[in-house]
Amino acid sequence: MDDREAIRQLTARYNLAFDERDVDGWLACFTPDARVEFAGSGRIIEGHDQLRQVIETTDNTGRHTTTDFIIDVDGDRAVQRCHLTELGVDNGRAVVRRFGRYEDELRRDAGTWRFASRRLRYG
Amino acid sequence: VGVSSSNWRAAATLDVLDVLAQLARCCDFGTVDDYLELVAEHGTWDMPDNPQVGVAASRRVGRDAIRTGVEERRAAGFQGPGTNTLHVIGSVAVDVVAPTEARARSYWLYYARTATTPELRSVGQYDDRFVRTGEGWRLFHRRISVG
Repeated sequence: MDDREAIRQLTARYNLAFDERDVDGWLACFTPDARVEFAGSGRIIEGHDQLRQVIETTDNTGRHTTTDFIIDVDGDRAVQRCHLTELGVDNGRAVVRRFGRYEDELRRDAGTWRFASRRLRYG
Repeated sequence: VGVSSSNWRAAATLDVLDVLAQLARCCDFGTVDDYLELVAEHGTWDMPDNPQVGVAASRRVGRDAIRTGVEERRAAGFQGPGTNTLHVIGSVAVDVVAPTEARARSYWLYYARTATTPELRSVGQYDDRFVRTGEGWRLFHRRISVG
């Protein structure tokens, strides 16, 4: 599969796994040493143990969608930028809860792309 | 989260992505026939109650029944050319399970009043199965969830 499409598919699976509370599916999107940073708050999460704690304790009822992918591949490494739109249903109405921007670093091991780091800035 | 490098899976993934996009575009801008060309003859379409827009649950089996559903929603002004509505698809994950069968999960966003100030009316998920026919990849089963 084309590397860019493989990375877009990885990003879609990441969103769906998080929203469906598929813990193992979500963790499989990350390299073992992955790092997630929430720009603005300064919160940093590193490694699968901390990531597992996040998905198991986050009270998520939204649906995460990503668009406007800009992907640059260099061998077994890649960087991606994309926009996040978090949707939900509040009081019976569909709403956009918040927007965000991702800056990602990805690594390919044994033919599989995974996130090595994700930096998310809301707004 | 494995990523196959085989050529036929890659080609099938892109074809399924294209059919998904075409379904949304035909729903909004195409004719009923345009839409149905993308649906397998024995396809099934399952939709639950959608209180966000006031549409009752329905199950349509076969292309003729699916046509009836499309025509009913168009007649009610929920979709189709001139209704100023849009279906936007996101977070599409495709699993090609065989050379002639694929599954896709995606989020849908349904907007109204698109000619003025767009209003997000409803969101949900499609769980779709596609089959490859002599005419190309076609929607075989769509299960819709809301919210």
